[in-house]
Amino acid sequence: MTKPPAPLDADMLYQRCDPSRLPFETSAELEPPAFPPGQTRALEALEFGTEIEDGGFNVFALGSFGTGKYAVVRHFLEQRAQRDEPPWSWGYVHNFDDPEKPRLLRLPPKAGRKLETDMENLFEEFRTAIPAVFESDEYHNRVEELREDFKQRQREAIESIGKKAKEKDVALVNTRNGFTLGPMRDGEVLDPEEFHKLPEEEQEAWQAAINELEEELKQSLQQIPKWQKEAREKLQALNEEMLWVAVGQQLEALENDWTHLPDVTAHLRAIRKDIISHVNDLDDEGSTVPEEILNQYEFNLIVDNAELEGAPVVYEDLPTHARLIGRIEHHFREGALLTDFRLIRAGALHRANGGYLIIHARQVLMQPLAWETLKRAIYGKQVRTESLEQLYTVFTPITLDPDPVPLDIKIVLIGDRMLYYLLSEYDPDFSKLFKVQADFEDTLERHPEHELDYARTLAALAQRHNLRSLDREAVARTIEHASRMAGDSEKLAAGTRPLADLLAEANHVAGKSHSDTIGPTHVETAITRQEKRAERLRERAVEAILRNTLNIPTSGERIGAINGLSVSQLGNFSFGLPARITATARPGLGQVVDIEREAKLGGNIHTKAVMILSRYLGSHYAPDGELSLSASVAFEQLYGTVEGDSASVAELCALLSAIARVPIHQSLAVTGSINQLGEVQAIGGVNDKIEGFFRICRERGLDGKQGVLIPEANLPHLMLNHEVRSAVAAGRFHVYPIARADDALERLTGKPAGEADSDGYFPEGSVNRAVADRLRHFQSVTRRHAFRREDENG
Amino acid sequence: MDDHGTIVVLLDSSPASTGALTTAARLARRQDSELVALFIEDNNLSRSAEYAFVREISALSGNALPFDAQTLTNRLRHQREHIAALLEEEASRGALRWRLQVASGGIHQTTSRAATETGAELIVLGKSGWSAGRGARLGSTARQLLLETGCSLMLWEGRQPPGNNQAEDPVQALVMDPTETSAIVRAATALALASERPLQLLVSRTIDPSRLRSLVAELEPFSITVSTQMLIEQSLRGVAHALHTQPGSELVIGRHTAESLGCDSSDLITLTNAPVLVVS
Repeated sequence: MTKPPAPLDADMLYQRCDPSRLPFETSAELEPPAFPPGQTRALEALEFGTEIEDGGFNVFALGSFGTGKYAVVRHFLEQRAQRDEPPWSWGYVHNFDDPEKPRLLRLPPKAGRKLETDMENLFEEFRTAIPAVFESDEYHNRVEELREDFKQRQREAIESIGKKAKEKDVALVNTRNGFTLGPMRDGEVLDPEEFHKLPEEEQEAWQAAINELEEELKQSLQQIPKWQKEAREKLQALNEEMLWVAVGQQLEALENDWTHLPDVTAHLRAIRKDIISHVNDLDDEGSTVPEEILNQYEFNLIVDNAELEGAPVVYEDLPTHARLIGRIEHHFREGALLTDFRLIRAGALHRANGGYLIIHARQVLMQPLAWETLKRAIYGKQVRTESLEQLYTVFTPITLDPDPVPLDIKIVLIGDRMLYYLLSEYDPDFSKLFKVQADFEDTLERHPEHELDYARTLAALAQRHNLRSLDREAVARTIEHASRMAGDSEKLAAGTRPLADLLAEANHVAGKSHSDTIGPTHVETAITRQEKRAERLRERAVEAILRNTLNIPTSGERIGAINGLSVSQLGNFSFGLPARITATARPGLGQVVDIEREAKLGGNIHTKAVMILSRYLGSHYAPDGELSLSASVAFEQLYGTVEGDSASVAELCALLSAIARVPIHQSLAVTGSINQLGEVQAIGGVNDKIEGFFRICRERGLDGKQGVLIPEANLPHLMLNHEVRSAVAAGRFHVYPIARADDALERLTGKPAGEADSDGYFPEGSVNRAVADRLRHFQSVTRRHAFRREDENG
Repeated sequence: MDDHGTIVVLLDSSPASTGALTTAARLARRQDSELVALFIEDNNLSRSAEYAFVREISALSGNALPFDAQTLTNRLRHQREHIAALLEEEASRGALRWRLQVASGGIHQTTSRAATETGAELIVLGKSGWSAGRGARLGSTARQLLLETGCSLMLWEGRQPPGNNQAEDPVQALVMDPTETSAIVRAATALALASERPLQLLVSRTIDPSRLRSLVAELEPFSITVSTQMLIEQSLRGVAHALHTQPGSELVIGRHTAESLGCDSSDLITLTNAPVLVVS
C-alpha cells in the first residue's frame, strides 16, 4: 500500500532570489546589458538578417506582446548601424528639359547640406549681383551707345538722302508716317501751280529725280528693320554678357567646387544655360531675376545625412502610404493646385535608405495600401513618390513624376506570432521578402548569470525612464516577481513592458515615502496595488462563493462532488477560482456523459479529456469486460464555456467517488490532467489556482485541513505568494503533489487507493476495490435487466 | 520769365509735343500766363500732297504709300481734333488760360511769327517732332528756332512729363557764363517751384564764389531746396559726367552756355534725355 502524498514544505513553494548573490548595492552601479538576456536566437537572426545583402532577407521580429521586441530591435540596429558608413544624402532639382520630372541628386552624406548652402548663397548673389551689373554705369553707357549707334545709322542714311535730294532741288519732308519728297525752290516745296507752268522736260526731270530718290529712300528705309534687328541682337548679347558677368564667376567657382560630382556640375551648367535664356525676363524695375525663375534653381534636400555617424535607424510609427514613400505637396494658387520639385517630401523609406527601417506589422497592415506600397518598394528596390490619387487616378491635380530613389534598406517588421504565421500562410510575397524570423523568447532560464543580467536590464529600465535606482533587495524581489510572471520558478519573464510599469509604480511609491531608492517594500506595494486595481471581478466571484451564492464548500465530505480549479484571464490579469464538479453514476452501457459537451459549453480539449478518463475507467476497472456504467460529470454553476484538460483528475475523482460512494474531503481542491494510464500531467496557471482556493479558505478560516492537490510535474512552476507560503509553513494550508490518479484518491478520500494484484483484484477496503465492486454490481444489474428484457420479448 | 506773359507750345500730336503741353500748362498755371497752343499745317506737306507723282515712304517699312491732298487733309483734321482734346483735358486739371491757334506755313517761321505776335517769351516744343523715331535727336524746327527766335525755348524729349521722374530729381541749372547767370537761375527757380522739386546749380569753376553765394542767398525766400555742385571740368564731358552722376528732371542753360563749353547748343541739348530750357 502506498502512502498518500506528503504536503510540500513552504520553501518548495517559492524560488527566492538571494540578494546576497547580487554583487551591487543599488542598480545605479550597473551598466546596461549589451544585449537583453535570453534572446540569443532572436539576436542571431537579427545579426544574420542585417548582414546578408539580399533584398528578400528582411526581418520579422515576432514574439508575445510586451516582450520588448522594439527596444531590443532598436538597440541592436543602433549598435549595428554604428559599424556602417553613413549613406548618401538625396535631393531633387528642377529638370530644365522636363519640369514634370524632377531630377534626383545623390550626394555624399555631408555634401547635401553643403550644396544646399552653396545654392542659397548663389541665389543671394544672383539677387544682388544681377541688379548691380544692370544698374552699373558701364551697362547704361553701352546700352546708350548701342541705341545711339542705331539712331546714328538711321540718321545718316536719311541725311544722306536729304543731301542728295537737296543737290537735286528736291525737298525731303517729314510726315507723320515717314517721308515725302517734292520739287524744292528756295528751301520750300515748289507750289504745284508754278510747277505745272514749267517746261515739260523740266517737270519730267524733276519727277525722275524724285522717283529715283524715292527708290533710294525706300531701299535705305528697308534696311532699318535689319539694323533694328542687329541692334536688338547686340543688346541681347550685351545683356547676356552682363548677366554672365553677374553670375558666371559664382557659377564657375561652384562648378570647380563640385567637379567630383558630375550630376551636380551638370545641374549647375543647366542653371547657367537657363538663367542666360531668361535675360529678357528680368524685372523692369531693379533688374532682378523674378522669384519664380530663381525658385527653379533651388535644391530640395529631402534626406540630409550630414549628422549621421553610421547608418540611419528609422522607426515609423504611422506607416501610411504617404509616410512610407513620401509625398508631393501642393499649394493653392488662383483656384488651382500647383506643385513643383520643391514640394517633394521624403518618407520613412527615404530617410532609412542605406540603413534600417522598423515598422510594427500591425500598423502597416492597418493603413490602406501601405503594405502593398512597402512590398512594391522592396521588390523594385526603389522608392517612387506618387500619391494614392495618382496611383489610382482618382483625383489628379497637376503633379510630378520625380526620379525614383534607389533603395538599399533592411526592414524589420515587429509583430506577434499570429500575425507572422497568418502572413506566411496567406501572403505569398511575405515569405519572399521577409525571410528572416527573429523569434523572441517569452521567458528565459533563471540562473545566477541571468539574474545578474536581469538586474542590469532593470537598471537600464530605471535609467531610461528616469526612475530611482533599485536597491539590491528590490532587484531581488523584482526578479522573483519576474519568475511569477513567467509562471515558473526556473524561468524569468522576458518582457520588459510589465516590468517597466511595475518599476514606474514602485518609483512612485518610493517618492511618496521620500526614499532615494526603490526598496523591496515599494516593489511589493506596487505589485499589490497593480493586483488590487485589476481584481474587481475576482472580488465579486470570491464574494459570491463566501455568501454561498456559488456553492463551493471547503469543509466536510461529499460523495460525487469535488472542488476543481480554474483560471480566468482578464486582460493582463489572471486569477484562479475553485469550480464545483459533480458526478453521478448508475448502471448503464459504458457511457460517461460530459454534460458540458452535451450543453455545447465544453471545448474540444475538455471533451477529449473526458474521453480519456472514460478509457482510463474502462481499462483500470474493467480490463477484461464491459464497463456497465452510465455516468455524468458537470461543472456546477458555471455559465460560460469550459476548455482545457486541467480538471480531468478532479472529474475522475468525482466520478470514482460517485461510483464507489466514497466521500471526498471538501477541504481540498485538485487540479491536473490525466492520461489513459492514470498518470497526472502538468497544467497551466498552477500558482493562480492554488492562490485562488487559498483565498476562499482564508476568508472562511484556515483550519489546517485545507489544501490543494497539484501535479507533481508542476512543482518547478511554483512561485506562490507570501500569504500562502506563511500558511503552509504554519501548517494551516497544504499543497500536495500528485503523480497518479490513485495519489489524488487517497488524499481526497483518506483511504488507500489500492493496487490490483496479479489477478486484477484490488485489496479490500481500498477505494479502487469499492469502485470495482460497484461496477461489478452495475454489470450484474445491467445483465439482469438485459435478461428480463429478453424474457419479456420472448 | 516773368509772370502774366504768354507761353507758346508747338503741338503736332507727336509724343514729344504731348509731354511739352503738360509742362507748358504747368508753367502757365504757375505764372498765370496765357497758353497759346500752336498747330501749324506745314505748307511743304500741303504742296507735296498736291503732286500726283509724290508718294509717302513709310519710315517703318520703306514701302511707298499713296499721298494726296485728301489724305493730308484728313490727317491734319485728326491731328487738330487730337490736339483740341489734349488741351481740353489739360484745361480740366486746373485753371488755365489757353487758346488753340491753327496756322499754316513753314514751321519755324510760323512759330517765330506767332511768338512775336503774342509777345511770348517762352516757346515749348519737342526736341524733335515725328523725326524723333527716325534717329533725329534735335529736329530741324528746334535747330532753326535756336538760331532765329529771341524767346526762351523749352525743348522736350519723350512723352513723360518731369513729374513722372523720381520726385527727388532736381531741376538742374548750368551756370557757366556770368552774363547769363541771373536769367538761368531765375528760370530754373520758376521750374522748380512749378514742379515742386529741389534746385541744383551745376557751377563752373570760373564763377566767382561770392557771386554764387549771393545767388543762393537770393533764393532763400523761395521754399525750395538749393544745392550746388562744381563741375570737375568746364567741358561737354564734364557736364555729361555731372548729369550722369545726378540725373535731373529738367536742365536749364543759356544761349551762350554751349559756347562757354566749346560746343554747339545742339550737342549740349542732346546730352540729356531730360527737357532742356534754353533761356534767352
